Amino acid sequence: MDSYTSSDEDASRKENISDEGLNMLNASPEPMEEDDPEEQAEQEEETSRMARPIRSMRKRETTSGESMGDEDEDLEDEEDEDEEAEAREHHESGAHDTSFSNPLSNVDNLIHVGTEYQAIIQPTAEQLEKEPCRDQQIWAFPDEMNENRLTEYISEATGRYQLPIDRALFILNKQSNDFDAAMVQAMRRKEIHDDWTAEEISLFSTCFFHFGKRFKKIHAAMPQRSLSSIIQYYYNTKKVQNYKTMINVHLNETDTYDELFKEVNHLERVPSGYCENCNAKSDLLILNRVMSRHECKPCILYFRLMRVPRPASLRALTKRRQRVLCPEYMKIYVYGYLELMEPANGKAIKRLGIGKEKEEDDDIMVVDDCLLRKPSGPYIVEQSIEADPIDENTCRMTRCFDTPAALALIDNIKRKHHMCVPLVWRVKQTKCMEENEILNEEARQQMFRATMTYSRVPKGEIANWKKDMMALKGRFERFTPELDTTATNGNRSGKVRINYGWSPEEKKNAIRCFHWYKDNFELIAELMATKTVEQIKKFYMDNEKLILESIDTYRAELKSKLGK
Amino acid sequence: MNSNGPLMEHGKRRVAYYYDSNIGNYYYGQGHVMKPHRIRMTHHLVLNYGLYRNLEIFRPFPASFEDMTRFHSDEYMTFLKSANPDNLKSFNKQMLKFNVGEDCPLFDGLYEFCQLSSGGSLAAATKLNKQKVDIAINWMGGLHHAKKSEASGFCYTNDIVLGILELLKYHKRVLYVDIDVHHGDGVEEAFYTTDRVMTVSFHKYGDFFPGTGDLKDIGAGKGKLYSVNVPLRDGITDVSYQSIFKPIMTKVMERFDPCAVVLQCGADSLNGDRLGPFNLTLKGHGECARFFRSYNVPLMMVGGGGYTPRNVARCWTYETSIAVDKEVPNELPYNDYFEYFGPNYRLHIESSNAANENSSDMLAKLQTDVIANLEQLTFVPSVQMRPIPEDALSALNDDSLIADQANPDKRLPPQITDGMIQDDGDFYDGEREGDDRRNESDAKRAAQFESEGGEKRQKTE
Repeated sequence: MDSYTSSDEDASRKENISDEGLNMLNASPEPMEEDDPEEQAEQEEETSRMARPIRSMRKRETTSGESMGDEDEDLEDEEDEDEEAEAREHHESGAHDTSFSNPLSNVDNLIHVGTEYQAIIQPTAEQLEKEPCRDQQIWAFPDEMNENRLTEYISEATGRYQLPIDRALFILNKQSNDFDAAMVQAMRRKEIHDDWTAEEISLFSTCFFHFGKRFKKIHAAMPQRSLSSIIQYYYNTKKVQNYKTMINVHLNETDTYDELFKEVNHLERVPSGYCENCNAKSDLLILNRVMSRHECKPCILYFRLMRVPRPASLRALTKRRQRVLCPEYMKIYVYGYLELMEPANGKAIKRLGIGKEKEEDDDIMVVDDCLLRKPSGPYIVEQSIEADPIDENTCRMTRCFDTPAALALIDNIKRKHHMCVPLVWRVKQTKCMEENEILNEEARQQMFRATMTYSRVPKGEIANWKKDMMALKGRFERFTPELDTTATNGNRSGKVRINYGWSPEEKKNAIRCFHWYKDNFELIAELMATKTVEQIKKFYMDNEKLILESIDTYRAELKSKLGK
Repeated sequence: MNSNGPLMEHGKRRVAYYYDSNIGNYYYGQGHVMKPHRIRMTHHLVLNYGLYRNLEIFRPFPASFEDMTRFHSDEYMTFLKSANPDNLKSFNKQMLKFNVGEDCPLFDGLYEFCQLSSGGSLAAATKLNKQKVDIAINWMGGLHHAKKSEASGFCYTNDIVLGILELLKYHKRVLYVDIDVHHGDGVEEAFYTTDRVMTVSFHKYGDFFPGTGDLKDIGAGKGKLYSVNVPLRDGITDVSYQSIFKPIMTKVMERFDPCAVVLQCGADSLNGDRLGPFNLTLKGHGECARFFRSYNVPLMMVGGGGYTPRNVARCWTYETSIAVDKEVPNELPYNDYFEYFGPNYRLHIESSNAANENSSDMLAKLQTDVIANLEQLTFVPSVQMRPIPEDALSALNDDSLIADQANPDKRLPPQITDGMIQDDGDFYDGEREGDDRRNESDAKRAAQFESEGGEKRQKTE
């Protein structure tokens, strides 16, 4: 019974073919066979539909409008490859459900003839072409393979090193089936685990809730992940997470995201720069009116959707933390610092040949003479274990304390006083401390020598020195703190704020500077620090007469003084 | 009749298997029934069943634009290459023209997806042409609806046509068999007017996509009688399917005597498919693969439809096992997607008790009609051929020559050993065989490895 054709359909096809300009079809019409009337009617309807637009056969006449609608529904309602029952239901209803059996559209149900449709076949094997290599071998089972070792290798590689089987096989194949070498390779091979962080997972879940399986949109919300990584994550966790319960019920009603996208696309844009939310470089910045700042697209979409700024934890993910390398020229200082922090070895004392000879008593001497911290009774200083002994109510004592003489001394003290001797902790002496001590020692000695020689020095000479010192002192005093160019003049960041007004203090200072340096504006600006060269120049120009007068009087005064 | 009919297995078939690990990450779109993920599921099952022991696994190179325009029109391929979901609006007119948008959505990475599926089938065909393997499998391919310049039925580029064109370079006649529930219209149309390719399709017909595939469509021009369509009704079971498949295919093999066979294993003809109303199980579906395996012709197996991913994975895994002739246990091995195969975690599926609308009378009638058509065929069409010129450097390309000339004291070069597969009759393959006849150097090496392994373990821990 089964030849669902009618003669007019055949005719239509023939016409179609001749229409294509190919008259090679000489198939005689097949004898028409009986068909059940219902289908016949349907068939006829269809053929008539087909027969009408013969010339525009390629114009995609949709087969039927209602079947398209049904199909959409069907596709939307898919989701259920899981439930066996549903599948069966589909299956059973499939026979009658036209929407189901016709999920595809736009086909004119004809096999066409013509060069536009047929493949062009080259004559066979005119010559043995050199075929291009079209593949890469991943794995081939060689003839001399120890199956047990293979099993062992695979279980090791997949179990311990977490390699996928095909990669393990590929490694083995690349090592020409040498298990030992392959094992070494497998060990070294770090499987790039596409691990998802907790933040990413929760963001994925949120996105999935809103967008469903529109992975493109999820990808837009988490651009640090590749689309295929997202899809793979979905499939890997699909059965575990039960995403279906998460899908938003409103998903099919309105696509808020699309509207959002449209809305966002119409927002005010700035060509490029850095997002003010995530600091990422972006080609396009969009004004976020609520926050009144420019943000990149992911940030703004996130904000529109969640009504909160895109969190920082997610941003940290996208940025790779960079470790700053220590510049070469700074390394000397770092090494110097490290060296100074090493425990003292007494070498500095020997090298410089200064400082006191080490005596045993020193080991328990307390250097810190802060009365508050000093224990009232006799006490022993001990080497500290803690890094910061000062916290422990101690003094800052120095050297190691483990010589037999020191120990004997402690015993001695303990015996003498018959009481509990409080212990005082001290830091292990570092080189830095040692050198400081040496310098102090040196200074002390020089002071000592100075006092010793004082009596022998002619008094007149000393009086001269004193006079010089005074002169020097006087010269220093001329530098007021405001004029000082050290950091005290600047703010905390080390930058000096330039101000525009002239305070009386500043005017006074400026005039004094003019006295000394006349019109060397650069120098004055440097000294003043709060004024630019231009400002000082202007100040000078504005008050030239006055300043010049002032200078003259100053000089005259100076001359008269010196003259004496 | 000089038929090389079904033969007893007298040697291992070499099997090449094509897969690219990216294929599972293409997504047709929300709510679309076509899920490339099923191919990855298949791959995981194949590997975890240990079928790799009998396979050669290859990663195909993506097909180039030129490769694909050997069948498809330049204009259509340019469109596929340049269009993507972001610039969709500028292609409105062309989308209508090429039927991209509704069933065949423009999704991200569409062109690469086409390149991979077509690349697989092209590579498989090349491999068969070079006679490196007897069976080549590409589950990424089988997109049989795609037309020369039109997408259709979730198919964009017709990898089958490209593969057959490649096979035709070296094979006089190629047989294409389609056991998808849908009619293989794209392939039939491409070879509608040639006698060098016979297309045979078993499909549901009558108010069903794509609407073609009537019994009366038998080809045109020179290709008249070289298109065979077997229209079926809902609910066909394993037994009735085989009752019509085997006689017809035996006749086809006898009359057409193909030099190579391409089998489209669309898994939507299985029971429980979301689109297909047939009632086949893996056994009935796999029987078709087994049928062609029994013939001694180069065989290319490609995927196709199949919209219940877990059943597709089951089916293609089973058919891979048939290709390598290895029994696989019914219990599924653990794999990354194990949860998908619940609740029973078995390989085989049950048939349902849906009514079979294909009465045996109807099938018998169908069979006689088809066979009557086949009887009209001129016996084994001859193909005009030019003599194949002598290959100037044949010695360089001939593997057996390399093997013969190789130094017997040294191991064979890898390009030969790589292609070798363990022979079933080979008893000397490992330590577990026979008495303690391990050779000394091997034993030493094994011991060394163990100790080294032990040391390394300590270090790494």
